[in-house]
Amino acid sequence: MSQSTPYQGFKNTEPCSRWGMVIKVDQCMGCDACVAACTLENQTPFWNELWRTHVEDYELGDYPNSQRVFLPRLCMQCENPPCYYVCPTGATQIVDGGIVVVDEYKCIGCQYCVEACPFGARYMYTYEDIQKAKEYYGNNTIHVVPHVDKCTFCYDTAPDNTYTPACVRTCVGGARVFGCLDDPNSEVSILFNTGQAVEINPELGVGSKVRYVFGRQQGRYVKNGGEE
Amino acid sequence: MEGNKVGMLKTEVKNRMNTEKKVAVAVISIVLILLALGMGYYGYRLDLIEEQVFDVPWGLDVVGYTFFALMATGSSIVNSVYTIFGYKGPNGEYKKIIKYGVWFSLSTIFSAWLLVLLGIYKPFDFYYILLFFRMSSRIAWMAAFYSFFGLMLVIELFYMILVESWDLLKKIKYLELAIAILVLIATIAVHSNLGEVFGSLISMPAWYGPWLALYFIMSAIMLGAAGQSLFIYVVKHKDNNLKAFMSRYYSEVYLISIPVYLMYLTWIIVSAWYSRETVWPVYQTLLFGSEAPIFWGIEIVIGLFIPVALAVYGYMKKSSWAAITAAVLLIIGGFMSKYSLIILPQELRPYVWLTLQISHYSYFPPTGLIMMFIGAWILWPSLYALGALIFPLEEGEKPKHLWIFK
Repeated sequence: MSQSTPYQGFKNTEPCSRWGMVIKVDQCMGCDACVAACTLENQTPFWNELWRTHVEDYELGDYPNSQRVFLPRLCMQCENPPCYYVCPTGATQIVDGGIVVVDEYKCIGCQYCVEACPFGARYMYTYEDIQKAKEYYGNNTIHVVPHVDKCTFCYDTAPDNTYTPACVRTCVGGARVFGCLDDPNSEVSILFNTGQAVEINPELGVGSKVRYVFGRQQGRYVKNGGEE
Repeated sequence: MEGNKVGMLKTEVKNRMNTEKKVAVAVISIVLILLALGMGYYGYRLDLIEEQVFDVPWGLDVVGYTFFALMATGSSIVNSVYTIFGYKGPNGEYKKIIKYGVWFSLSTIFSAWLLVLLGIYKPFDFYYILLFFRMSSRIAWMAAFYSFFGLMLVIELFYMILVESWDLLKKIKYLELAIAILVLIATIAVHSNLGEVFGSLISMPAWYGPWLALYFIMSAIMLGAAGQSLFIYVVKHKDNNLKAFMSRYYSEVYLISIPVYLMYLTWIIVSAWYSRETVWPVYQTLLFGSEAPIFWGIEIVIGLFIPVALAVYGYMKKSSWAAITAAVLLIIGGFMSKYSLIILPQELRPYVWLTLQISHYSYFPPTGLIMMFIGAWILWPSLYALGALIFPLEEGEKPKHLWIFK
């Protein structure tokens, strides 16, 4: 049995030019398993409470029309990523699958991309963080020099031939769906193309490849705190 | 005969005292420059191991950098009144200070460069910007324009020094004007691009928009005139005619630039009122919230209204103290306005994420950044003083050593 077999169920075994993710908000129970998985997979600086993905807890509306929503957040892997365009050294790159990554050796730490990201998905992985990571992970540290860090859909760390991020593999409620947007039969494509998966802040014009389904909350969910 | 000897002796003693005074100033300047660089580097090292202020990625270093960059480039625009538009003063007084003005621009930009270099996390990899230049990045263009600006200022200063002794340069028609125009082009390019470094970010609604470049240009003219008038006054405080000219000239620059600056500021605030829901909270805090005392007290009253009154007095009465006080207040107000402009939108950072979210982070710069900042402030007058001592900046003064030195 090959090492990647356990993940074959995700069916993301073929290369793709546009990976995407859909988050089914109603299926997220706020257990933070995805955060833990991501933290271990990508050695994010949890000691500074900085994450590649985290889950926000919202209480929307007023009683009796109030509701609690868990909203997982991560890099939106934009089609037109502002962080990519502002990077002065070309450290932020768009690689196979349309995934936005950071070349840590090229990053000079000007943090222009941190300012430019409209979703607050980037943070500085500092010299101190690298030292701290060595304490936790020994010689298996994946961050070598200080740089700006962000979610890469586990581009570097996912097991071979699976193309499935750690958060998706771990999600207990199946709230996170990952797949190829080029394949019209993939679940993400269907959710994208039928308009069930909505883009957050579409007026920014960045073309997020991470979208949200409010599912059974649709109709009950009221955007402006209680009034239609 | 005896009287003649005594007179010669007196002159010699005076010259020697002058030389000793100059050597002392030069030594102090060099020591201060080394101290400034040392403090900057120590601050940078300290910043690496200090707890990071993640909520405000662009802190005091970026504020200081913007402030010095605007002052240097603004000074260059003020210089263009002489170099391009040909205003020499009623009795040619401007000729006596123009080289000091150009040196002021050049020496001031070093403080900006110090802060911007040490402010990035890996300053020794700075050359990657030029090596892997990304055309769409405003910061990449900033590096290119700064290089061009610095180079053109060096060329302009060297030209002004060399032309005193090289007749060949005088014969090349329009060379001086061509250099001056290139300096102004570089200056405008730096300003416009600096405005867009902030103004092109959709993630920061309070910065976003095309107006920031214009705001920076007006702010730069005020700061540049104020800065150079202060420094030139220190060098030329014994020349009463020149002091009268400077009081009138710089007061005039303030009286032209302050109302235009105020007009832009009003326009920005009015635009913010009609803008997206993510913009107004920042200006609301500035105008009526916790930042209101700083905005109304320091930025508007101390930084603009009192300087206007002083400039009117300085212009009418040719009063040096009024012009100098106006310059000091303009610098204080100018710095605080850059602080508010850069820090406040990061502290509040309003954005819509299901509902309108406004963070309330209270920024205080870490010790490392404060040290870098103090280093840049020490470097600013020290470098200027050293240059004023080693370069022949007086009118008609010819270089004696290594083509460009006194």
